[in-house]
Amino acid sequence: MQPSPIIGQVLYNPIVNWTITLIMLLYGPALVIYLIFRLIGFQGYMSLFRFIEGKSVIYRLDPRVKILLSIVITTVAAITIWWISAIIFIAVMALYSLLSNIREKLRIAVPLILASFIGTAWTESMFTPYSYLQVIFHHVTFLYVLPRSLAIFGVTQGSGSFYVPYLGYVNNPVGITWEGIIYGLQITFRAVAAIASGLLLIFSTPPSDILRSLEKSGLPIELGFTLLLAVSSVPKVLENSMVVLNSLKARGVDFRPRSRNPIAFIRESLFIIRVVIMALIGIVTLTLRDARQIAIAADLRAFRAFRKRTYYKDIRMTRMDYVILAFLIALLIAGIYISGLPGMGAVPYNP
Amino acid sequence: MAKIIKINNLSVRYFGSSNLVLRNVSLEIEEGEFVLLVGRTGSGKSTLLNVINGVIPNIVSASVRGSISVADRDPRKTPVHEMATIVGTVYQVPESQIFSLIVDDDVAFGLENRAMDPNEIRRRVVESLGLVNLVHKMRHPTFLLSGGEKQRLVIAGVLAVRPRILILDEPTSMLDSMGAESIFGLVKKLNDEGLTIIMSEHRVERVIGMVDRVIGLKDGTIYVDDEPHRAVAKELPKLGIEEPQVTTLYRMINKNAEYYPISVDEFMELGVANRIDVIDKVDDGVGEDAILVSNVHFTYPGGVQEVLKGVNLAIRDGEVVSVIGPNGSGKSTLMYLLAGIYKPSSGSIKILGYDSTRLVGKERTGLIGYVFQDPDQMLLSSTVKGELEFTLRLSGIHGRVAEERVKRISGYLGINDLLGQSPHKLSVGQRRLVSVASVLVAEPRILILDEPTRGLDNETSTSLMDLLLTIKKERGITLIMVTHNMRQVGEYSDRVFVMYDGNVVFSGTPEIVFEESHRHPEWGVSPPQVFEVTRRINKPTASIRRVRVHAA
Repeated sequence: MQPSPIIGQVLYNPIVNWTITLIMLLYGPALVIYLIFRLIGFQGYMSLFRFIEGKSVIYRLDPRVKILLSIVITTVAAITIWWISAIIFIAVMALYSLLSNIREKLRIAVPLILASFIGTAWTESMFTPYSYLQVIFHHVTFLYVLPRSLAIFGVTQGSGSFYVPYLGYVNNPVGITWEGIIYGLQITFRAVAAIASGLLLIFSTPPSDILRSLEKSGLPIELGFTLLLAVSSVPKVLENSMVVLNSLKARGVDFRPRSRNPIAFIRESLFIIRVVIMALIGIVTLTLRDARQIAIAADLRAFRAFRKRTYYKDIRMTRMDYVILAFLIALLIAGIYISGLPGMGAVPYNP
Repeated sequence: MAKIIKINNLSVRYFGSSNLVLRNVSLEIEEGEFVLLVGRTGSGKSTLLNVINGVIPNIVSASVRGSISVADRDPRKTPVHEMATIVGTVYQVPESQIFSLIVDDDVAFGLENRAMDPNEIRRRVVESLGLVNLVHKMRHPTFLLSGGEKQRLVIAGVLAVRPRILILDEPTSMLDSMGAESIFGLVKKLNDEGLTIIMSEHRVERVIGMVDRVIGLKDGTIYVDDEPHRAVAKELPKLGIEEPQVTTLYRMINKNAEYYPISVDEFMELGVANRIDVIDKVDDGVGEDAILVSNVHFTYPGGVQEVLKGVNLAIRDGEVVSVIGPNGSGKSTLMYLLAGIYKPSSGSIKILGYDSTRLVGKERTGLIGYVFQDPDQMLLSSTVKGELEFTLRLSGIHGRVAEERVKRISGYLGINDLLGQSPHKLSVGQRRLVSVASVLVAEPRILILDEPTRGLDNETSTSLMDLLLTIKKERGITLIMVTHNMRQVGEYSDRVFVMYDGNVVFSGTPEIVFEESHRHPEWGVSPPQVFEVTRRINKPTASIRRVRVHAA
């Protein structure tokens, strides 16, 4: 095919090229931030930890079986080709129908999954080193070329001469590749299948039951306690963040640079970055200042005072748990078998 | 009654410090007694409590001399978790004593650690939650509880091991008035059921009526140890401690009594109320509207519930105004809107004639400043001076003018010596002053103070309030305080706005509001004693400074 001069001229006009480049560079992080902050927000994060009881089978399963479910799903998704991972991901999403108050759950799960989808797909498809792609796919196709200077940011750069649509042959092009996108999807579906099954566990199991069952299966109590503290401090950290940002706003900090003059704009942006760092330090200080008190309170409540611990709630495997367990083992074996078939295995991560 | 605590000649010195925190303290406490421990910040209250439960020296290193016996054990030689089955301890901040995300799990935590039989754990969880009246919230997430509920949960966790003594170290200093009331009620009930209680608390007026004994510490020694009526005869304010207002009133009448009233009824029974006169309030003269809020509705971004439901209010230039009401009534949200942190969903706010939504950055900071409740939420720089300069930079003030401002404001608030220090290394009271300075340095014409004296002892809070009032008079600024402290409301405010369920439901002078509050228990307002006394003699005043006494 001959390069079409008009489309080529438009696509590779420096202004258009740079505009597309900037969009490509920025949409990933921007969308992730947008999804996380706008769609989920503070309230959404809080409800992530607000366990609501339900009656369906998913709530009655032993937490350990659900943990195993996440592990098997993640493993199978990781070792098979991307479209099998996608099917597994969809299957996990179907299990969400067993959750009570499903709308609220999806309001949190969908943006989180979408955010990791976009985030991973973006980083992996644009920034995978050419050498990886060459090793994995043996052939690399450039779809669109970006300004060469972006190579320093790690955008994929081919070595040698490549044919680029509407542009013709280019030496050592820097840009978007078809194989990069496939690779991105591959990694992405691994990630989202893991996230979706992890969220399913969190939505259907009180956090303390997750920890109790982990401890029962041999997780050191210290580690479990640290995890528990980390999880339970999230709401407090979020609250502290809100208050600190509000106190800065009240003192006249404007978190949006407003100048039209580019130099002033950059200066304002730098100042905002400095303020954000100050705020982070403040949030950490606020969060950590009670650490000693927490340690004392834990000791007073006999934490680690005895070797043995008992459990407030019975965690026992039922018949249903064994059925699911058998299914998971079967799924794992099938996954391993399929991944061995030609063309069905996953592309390696970081070859 | 048997003595459950026997302390003889106790002296404590923290490692790395040359000063004794407690000096030759001797005391005995009977089983079933309710002891109120008072003293200014740093007087040794917390140290004494932490020696009784063994945290000192087992967790916090210190040299502890003298003899201590708690239920016939030496806490120094007993593991702290074992002591905890005898002495339960509740500290100030509920969040740092809660370990689980669900209420019942948290009560079970200590029992699981002690490897108790699961059936017994389940029985005790229900029993303890029943004691603190939280059974209905058993499966509730802990972080969604109100402050008072959180502290009650902490108490439930402590009670689950069935201790014989309960220690409470300023248990209500982080709570609103409703939350504090629920804790006081609970503690009283537990004491009536036979539990020995030792509580340190700044709100003396509120709790002194329910205790058997008051122990006052001064620089690490016992200054007062007596039955309440006799204890207040020792002039607690000299120790930096609050005393009941009726005690102060009676002292104005009789300087040398051995026995002073602590409740309004006791005061009235003495038959001296007719000697009280109330002088008129001096009107400072107030000007135009400083703040005009019209029909403001507000819903948080992403939220569904309307937090402000059509608020109307007008605050005049030069006024001192208090905003009161239970937590969740919309007070802080309204202040956020006044300070421009959020914009109203509908309705309008005018700040000194300017449309509030159009004010940004330095235009706003010169008009209205906001001092947050917790100084640590505001102090982010590495030095005090840096903190003030940060505000000045945001207000567009540089160079020599900025230098002058820093000098002037720090002189005003008496913090010149602290300019080079890190704000995080200062005392609570000093940090509060720095947070006020960091807002005042922009010279706003309106100052919002959120709980300006929470967590401060009586002495520090009185001097802070007096200082603010002086600044207000000299600079002619308007002060808006959000507070739960009704003594402060009565003493300092010209007008009071009561918020309830997203609206301003009542406003007026403190006297009018306190009178009306008798008909509205849901406001959670308990008027100060001076008001209750003076209204009974038909000369109602909310401020003890306006009371005079004439000869019999």
